Amino acid sequence: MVMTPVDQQATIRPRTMTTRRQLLALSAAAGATAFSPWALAQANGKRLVYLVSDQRIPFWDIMWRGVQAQARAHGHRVDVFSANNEAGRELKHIAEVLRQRVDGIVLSPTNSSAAATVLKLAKGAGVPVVIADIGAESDDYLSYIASDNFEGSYQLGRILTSAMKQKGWSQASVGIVAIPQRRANGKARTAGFMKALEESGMRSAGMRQQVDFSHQETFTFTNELMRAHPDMRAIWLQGSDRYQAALDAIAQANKAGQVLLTCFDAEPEFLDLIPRGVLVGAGMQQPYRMGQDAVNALNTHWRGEPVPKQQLTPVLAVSSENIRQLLPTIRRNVLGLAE
Amino acid sequence: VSHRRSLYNLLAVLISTVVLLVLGTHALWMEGSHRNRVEKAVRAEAEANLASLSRNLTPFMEAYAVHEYEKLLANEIELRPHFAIIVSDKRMARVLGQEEFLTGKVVTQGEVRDFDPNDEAIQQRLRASLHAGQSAIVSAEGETLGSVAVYTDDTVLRQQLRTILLSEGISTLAVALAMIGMLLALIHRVVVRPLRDVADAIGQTDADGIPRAPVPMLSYHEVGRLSEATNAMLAEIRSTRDKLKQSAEVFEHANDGIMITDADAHVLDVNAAFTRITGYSRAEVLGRTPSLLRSGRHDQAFYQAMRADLREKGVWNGEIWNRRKDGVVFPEMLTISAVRDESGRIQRYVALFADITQLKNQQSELEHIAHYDALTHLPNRVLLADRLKQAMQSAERRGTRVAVLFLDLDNFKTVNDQHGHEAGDELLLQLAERMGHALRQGDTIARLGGDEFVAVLQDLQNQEDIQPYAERLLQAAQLPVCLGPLELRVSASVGVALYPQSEPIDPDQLLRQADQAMYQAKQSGKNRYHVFDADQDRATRGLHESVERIREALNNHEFELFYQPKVNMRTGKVLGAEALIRWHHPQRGLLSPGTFLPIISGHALNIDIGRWVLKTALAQMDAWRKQGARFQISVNIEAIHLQQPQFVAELREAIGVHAGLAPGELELEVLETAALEDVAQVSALMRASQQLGVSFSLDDFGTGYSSLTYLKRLPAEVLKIDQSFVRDMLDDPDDLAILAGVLGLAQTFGRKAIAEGVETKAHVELLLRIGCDLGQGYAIARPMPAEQLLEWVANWRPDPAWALCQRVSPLGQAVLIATVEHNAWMTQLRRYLQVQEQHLPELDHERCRFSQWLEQSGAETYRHQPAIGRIALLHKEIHDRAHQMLRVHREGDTAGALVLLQELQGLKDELVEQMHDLTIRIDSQA
Repeated sequence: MVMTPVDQQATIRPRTMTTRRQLLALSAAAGATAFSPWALAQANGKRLVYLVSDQRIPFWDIMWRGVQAQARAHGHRVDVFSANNEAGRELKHIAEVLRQRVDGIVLSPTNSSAAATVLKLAKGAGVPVVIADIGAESDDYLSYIASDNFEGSYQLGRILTSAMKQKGWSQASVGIVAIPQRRANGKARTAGFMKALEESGMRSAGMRQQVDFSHQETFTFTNELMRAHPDMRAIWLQGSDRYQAALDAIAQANKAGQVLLTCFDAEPEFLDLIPRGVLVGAGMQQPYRMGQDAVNALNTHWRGEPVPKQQLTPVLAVSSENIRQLLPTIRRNVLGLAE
Repeated sequence: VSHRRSLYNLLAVLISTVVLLVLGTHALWMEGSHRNRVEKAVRAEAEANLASLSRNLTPFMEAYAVHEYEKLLANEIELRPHFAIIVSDKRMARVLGQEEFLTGKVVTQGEVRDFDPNDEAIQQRLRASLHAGQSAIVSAEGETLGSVAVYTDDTVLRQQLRTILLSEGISTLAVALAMIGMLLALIHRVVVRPLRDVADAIGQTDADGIPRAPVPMLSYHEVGRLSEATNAMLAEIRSTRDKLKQSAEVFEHANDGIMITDADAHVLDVNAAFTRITGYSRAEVLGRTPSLLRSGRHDQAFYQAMRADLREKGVWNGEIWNRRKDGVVFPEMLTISAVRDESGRIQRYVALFADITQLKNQQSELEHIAHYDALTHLPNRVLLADRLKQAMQSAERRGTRVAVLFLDLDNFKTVNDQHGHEAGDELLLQLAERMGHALRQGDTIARLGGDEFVAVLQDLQNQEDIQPYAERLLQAAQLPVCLGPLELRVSASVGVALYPQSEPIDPDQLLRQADQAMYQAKQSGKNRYHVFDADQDRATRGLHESVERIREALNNHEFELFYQPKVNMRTGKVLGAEALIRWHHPQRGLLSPGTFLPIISGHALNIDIGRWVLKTALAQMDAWRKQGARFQISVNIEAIHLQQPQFVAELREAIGVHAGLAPGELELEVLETAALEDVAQVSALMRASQQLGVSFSLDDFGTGYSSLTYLKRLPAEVLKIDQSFVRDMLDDPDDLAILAGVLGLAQTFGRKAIAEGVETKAHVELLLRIGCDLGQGYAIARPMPAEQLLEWVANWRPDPAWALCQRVSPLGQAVLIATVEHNAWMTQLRRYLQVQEQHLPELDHERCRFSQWLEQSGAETYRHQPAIGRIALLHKEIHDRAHQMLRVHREGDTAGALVLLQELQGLKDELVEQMHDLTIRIDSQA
């Protein structure tokens, strides 16, 4: 179970049974840490906290695990504070941790605006902050750890165009159901993908931007694109959670096998669907590794060494051809499963 | 001119200063106004912004979106003119466990920065801010989330004001410069340039410093008036200059002397005539006072009166005696005028005078001719009448008696006949002198003519006092007179009349009584005197009317007015008529006034008669006026009537009844010889009457001793020359000379003269030639009843020859008088031959009066006239022929004498004709 961190207004989304069980297990673990924040503190290391918008979302929980694992690896004491997507709680947490005089903060804020307030407070207290994945409307941070959306999308596009060429659809077009393009990650994903299309000589059949991220919305967009562009041979879904809506639309249009589907981000089911060819491929972020990178950045800072202001964590472009090879990495860095 | 300040520059400075001051004041006021407005706007905006912020911040604060609302604050502070926006977030404070959570934005050095509560500089600015507003932020549920405060300092205000003032200043300066420029251009065009043009025109002057050309007419009303006024002034100056030149010409060339002094009588200037008359040069009198000329003949009171007149009336005129440089005292007719300035203060005096020495001499000569006998230089009949009148008045006052002794020489004609006129004249001269010595000083001895003398003795107490004087006179007359070897002897008969008598009597009557008594003395055997017996005379006067009878006649309406026309003989114009009273006596028929008026002379009835005459004449004038005829009617007024206290009131009443009377239509004739005792009173009466429109004439002018006094002091418009002069003028050169003299006086004094007693055409022509155009007498018309007058006026035409009679000059008059002299000589000669009762005229052609004229005036004045030689020859021939004729006559050849007389008449006519030609030639050359 993996959830995308990009939806800042996200609510708890319907899950498959498998996902629901995993979520319960993760939540129980997260809840235990939240109620005894200092239980894992180490006596001789630095004291750091991970302020997360909502640990109940798998993506953040996987990232917490990366943070936690890396902090422990360095002998630091680390605690997680989940705001449960409430700005007030987030502010309360930052006030609290600042009162506690922590040495560093990894921040995955509720939104980029709230991040600015947190950063401001932390700066006021002289505490270094590393932001993980969600950007901030402030640059008062030590380093920003983000996925390399452009490169990931580019690689994913190459997988798709390659598959389409193999099927002899060199002149076919690709429809895009995109996340909102006002976001930086949306723009980077489109740009990387379009680069791959251009290099392959294919063209975009059109783009529909998601608004409410509902099943119906994705289903409708997919339908419209297929109807409007009979020559369209692939749909690229910039998110992962509504892949089923797209599949449903293709199936309903009797174009299963005629219209390919590729997604960004990952769902546990993809480990099955990609090998089966239902999905041509998926661009998978690595939250676990991002958590590790964040702690590493603090560590570097504490050592007195310069820290890059921004660090990009690679996105894994997974296809039926490399999934077997990448599976260990996917399990740990994407799905946060213990090795 | 250049050192004077420029009006234009002054105006430029003034206008610039005023405009800049006004606009500067306006700008300051505007600055204050803008400041208030901007300040108010800032406050209003702050308040509005605060309210808006309060609303907009609420959701962010509810959502703990600190950064969001900080962005909002940043936007606000960039958009709004605030210095700081600070939010106090209670929820954040609670979340952060702080007492207060303050955040916000401030603008420092033009940049928006985060608010730092610990920044003391910011805190100071907050405290010093111009405006601070705060608003609570309350959630929809009513929870107070915090507050927002907006601070505005004066930076914005200053910026806005600076911007406003800069633009205002630039526009104000531009407007000021434009205004100044326009005003100066306008002033230059409308005021300065026209004034300069006017000044240029005024500056171009002629030799007298007067501008040559008129100043240009300026367009605008106000300055246009300057042009008009200047041009009017220039025209006035030119006119004044011309007048001054004329005045200077007149001043310099006037015949009259002119002297100008300052207010203190110091001489400022005199003209050439002054120098000619007084002998003093201009340099000699400048700075001196007119007292230099004082003769000493006038006392201080005279000069004080003169100064008083000048002070009060501003003018004095009259006769004054002054002294020339050579010491000679001379009379002058002087007019002094005071010249005052605008405030009425005397600035100078202008004296204008004429040397009237000649006039005085003429007057003196005339007076002498008029009042003294030419041979004996004793008073003549005229002066005698005056002396007698005065003696009578004196006697009345003093209670004494006056005696009139009428003396006629016995057998004087024999002396003349036997020894010639020269001897007779010498006899008369010596007797006159003796008789003068026989009387007291103060008594009068006069010669009436021929061998008639009259003595007036005054201050006698009774009739007996006469005797010694009468006898002394008889003695003086009978003493022999030695003329060389010749001893002549005559005697005298004397008639005496005394005054006063039991009845009123006038001088003429008294004289007639004396004459009558003298006749008695002659009748009684000559060489004696006889006293007139008044009582006996009255008893014998059977025919004479009594006063009562005359009164009765008045009551019975027996009187009537006749009218004798007065005309201009030269033009034929009828001037008017004199009303003359007539008495329709039931028994004696129509009586003339001479038969009854003397009876009531000095009597109150005279006044009643006078009133009747006046009333009747006025009524008649009314009647004529209704018939469309208007002319002047003269009425004789007796002195006793005129001097009645109510005279003027009565006259006013009488005139008032006849409302249509025009001024001058009624003329009152006042007898010049009448008893005008109080000249000042009569003068006042006459002036008062003149106010009523009545005019005056002096009747019988020339017969009274005081003629000149009357002429000077009585405001009569007309002089009526006594008919005695007119009647005898053809034959009596003395009368003609008097007449001419009177005409000259009338002209000198600005009066009209009319001759009465014009009896013949010869009289008319001679009168016209000597310049007397107005006349009244039988030659024109006899007095006529009123009903005939209008018809006469309608029908009368003057003799056409009268209009051709040329008026002669004074020189011509002298020729005329000489001609009359010769006529008189010829008449006397003829009478001598015909009736042998007259004196023989002077036969020596070098001793007769004509020869005196011929040798003196004729030879001197007319020597260049060719006729004078012929006249002299004719004159000598006439005398020669006269000698021859007398010789023939004495030889008894009467017929031969008459033939010679005819020849003599022919020669005389030729002489008269030559004299006439001489007159014409003289006048044509004059």
